[in-house]
Amino acid sequence: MRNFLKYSGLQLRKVETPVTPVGPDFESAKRKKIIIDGAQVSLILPRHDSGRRKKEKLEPKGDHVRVGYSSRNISNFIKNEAWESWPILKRVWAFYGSWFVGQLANINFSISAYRWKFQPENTSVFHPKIFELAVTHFLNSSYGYETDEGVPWHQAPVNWQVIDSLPVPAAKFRVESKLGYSPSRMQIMQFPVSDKVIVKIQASFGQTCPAHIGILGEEIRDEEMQALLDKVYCSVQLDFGDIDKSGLRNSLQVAGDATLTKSFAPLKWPVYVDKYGKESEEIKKMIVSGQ
Amino acid sequence: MFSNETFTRELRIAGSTAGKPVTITPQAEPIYHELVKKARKGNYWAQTTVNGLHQLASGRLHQNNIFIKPGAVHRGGTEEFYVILPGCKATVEKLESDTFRVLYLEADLDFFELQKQEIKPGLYSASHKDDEWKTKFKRNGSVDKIQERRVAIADSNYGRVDETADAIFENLSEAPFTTGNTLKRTGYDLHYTPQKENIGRLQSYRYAICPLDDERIHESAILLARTMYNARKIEGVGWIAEFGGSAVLTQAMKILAGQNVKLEDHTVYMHRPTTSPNEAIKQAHKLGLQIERNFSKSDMTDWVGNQSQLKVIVNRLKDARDNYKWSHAAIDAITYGKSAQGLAASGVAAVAYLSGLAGMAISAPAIPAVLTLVGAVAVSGAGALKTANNATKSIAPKFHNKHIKGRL
Repeated sequence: MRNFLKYSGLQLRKVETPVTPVGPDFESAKRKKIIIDGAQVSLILPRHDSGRRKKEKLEPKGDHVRVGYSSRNISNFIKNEAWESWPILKRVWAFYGSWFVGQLANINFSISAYRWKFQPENTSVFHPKIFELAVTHFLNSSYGYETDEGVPWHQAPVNWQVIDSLPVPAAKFRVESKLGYSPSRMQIMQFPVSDKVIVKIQASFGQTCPAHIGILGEEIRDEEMQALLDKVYCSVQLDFGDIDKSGLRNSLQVAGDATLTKSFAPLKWPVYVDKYGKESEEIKKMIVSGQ
Repeated sequence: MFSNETFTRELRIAGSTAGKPVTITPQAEPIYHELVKKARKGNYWAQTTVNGLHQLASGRLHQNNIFIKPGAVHRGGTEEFYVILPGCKATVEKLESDTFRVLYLEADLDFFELQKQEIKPGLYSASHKDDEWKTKFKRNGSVDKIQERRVAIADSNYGRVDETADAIFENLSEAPFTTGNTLKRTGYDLHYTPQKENIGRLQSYRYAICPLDDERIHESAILLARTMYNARKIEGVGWIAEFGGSAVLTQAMKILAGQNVKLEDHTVYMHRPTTSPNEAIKQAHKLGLQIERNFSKSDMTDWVGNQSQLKVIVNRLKDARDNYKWSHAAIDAITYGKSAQGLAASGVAAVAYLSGLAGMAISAPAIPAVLTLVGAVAVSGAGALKTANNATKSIAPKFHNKHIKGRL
């Protein structure tokens, strides 16, 4: 139970660094079950608390999320129109400093589903190699093209970890952005729930006090935040129930001994890919002239 | 007389051919040279600063100029004052011979680095990706040359830029000339002012009613003014200030108005301003900005935002170019009547009436109070529920969203 007196949202004094902000309690949080495209994803999530500034949360309407029927999200992907995405859940967890320094940081947490519209035919993302291909294409087309005067803006995947506890190939990694002095880290976990659909559980840290006070991750320590996030990621479970798993079984049979790679070095960026995942001069021209 | 040291005259930085001569003391010279070097390399803040110093040649700019602060007056007719410019505070002496002498320069020569560290104000482009807003620092400090670009001027205390872009999105989508969907698709530019203190509000009431006096945001305002000036040829730019951003925008508009700049293609809107909207509308009219039906939006509990609302109504009616009609004014007066001030004023008026004081003819200053009383009475019956609804919405937004929204 968080000490609401010690770590309150009231701001009465200035921050003295270093400081470790404390956020919501994991032990009292409830397990959330969402059925995405037939597969039940469940994980323990603290309640939404955006703190001082109001931020909207997003909760699925009902337990079942039918991917492909809800409204499509507009994402600023590379202009190859290869990916469709559906936001499913979004919560914010505020983190407070001790004794009336107020809110210092928050975690922006979201779950969404993705589909590669031009995935090679007769393949399933349950197959570890196809999954790797899809993840690579996803990263290339969402981050790989962004540069700052020729220097790639992002770096991914960093700290690639294969997750064995799920019945499907699953991985967790970070996307690091280092532009100027504002490095931001995003943590992403991805796994497939059907032949075409990949679920992405994403969290990023945000600093809600100005940069004069300190930088999150340096003077403002993020141990508590990381600990909470690790617990949330550990609590992820995937259950197919009694739905038809032939696709999964088939692809796992085809896969045979193939497994996800244990190490995945950061991709070589900048790269400009088309909707099939091939490098394309046309897209490069379009983006370079547009910037 | 017989010393070997050569005599050096103070360096004249401006006004050598025309205008008033501006010299610089040897102590300040190295910093000035450093600034010029930075300006030549293309640092836009340094260009603005050097130009600002050179402009002293055209007289002491204008007395009205908000970033010139008077200092001590010395015996013998010399006078000191200081000029606040981006990354630099210059102390200047006005000599009796009507020339200017730059005494000291306190410059942050690493202003650009500080901007990148998000310690100094700057312009960012924000784009929506993966359900989050991401920002990118703009080295040239200019708005993207895209028609109908939206530029947000954010309040100071949201935190870092990414957080700010994320937090203000809901407010921006309330602007009459844009929608949340458009913003998500096209992104927007964000003028960011980092500061620990709040801008305006009741906490710093002195600045809330006179936003032009707030010295802490001059730097930010000058940079915004430059951004606005450079954007003057882009069609249909929309400037949206939210909460304390109103003060920065007001100051920037004042700077431009002082230089006779016109922004006739652009629009402006303030979301729940924490400083006087009346000061802002005056400057907006001077710049010739297009103003939509609603210039600002305030919740009923926003004391400062509602304060000069009646003056705003009057000023908008007076302005010939503003497409604001009497019918709009009537509706706005009723809306004002529902605000905290309106209710308080109508309470006072009602008490005065009941105690028989209003037996006399209504004096001219009491007319707004009576108007608001009429407004308040008109809404009191059927509107009471709505007023209560609005009250919960602004006092406890979370509670409102959970329990009330959509059920009334």
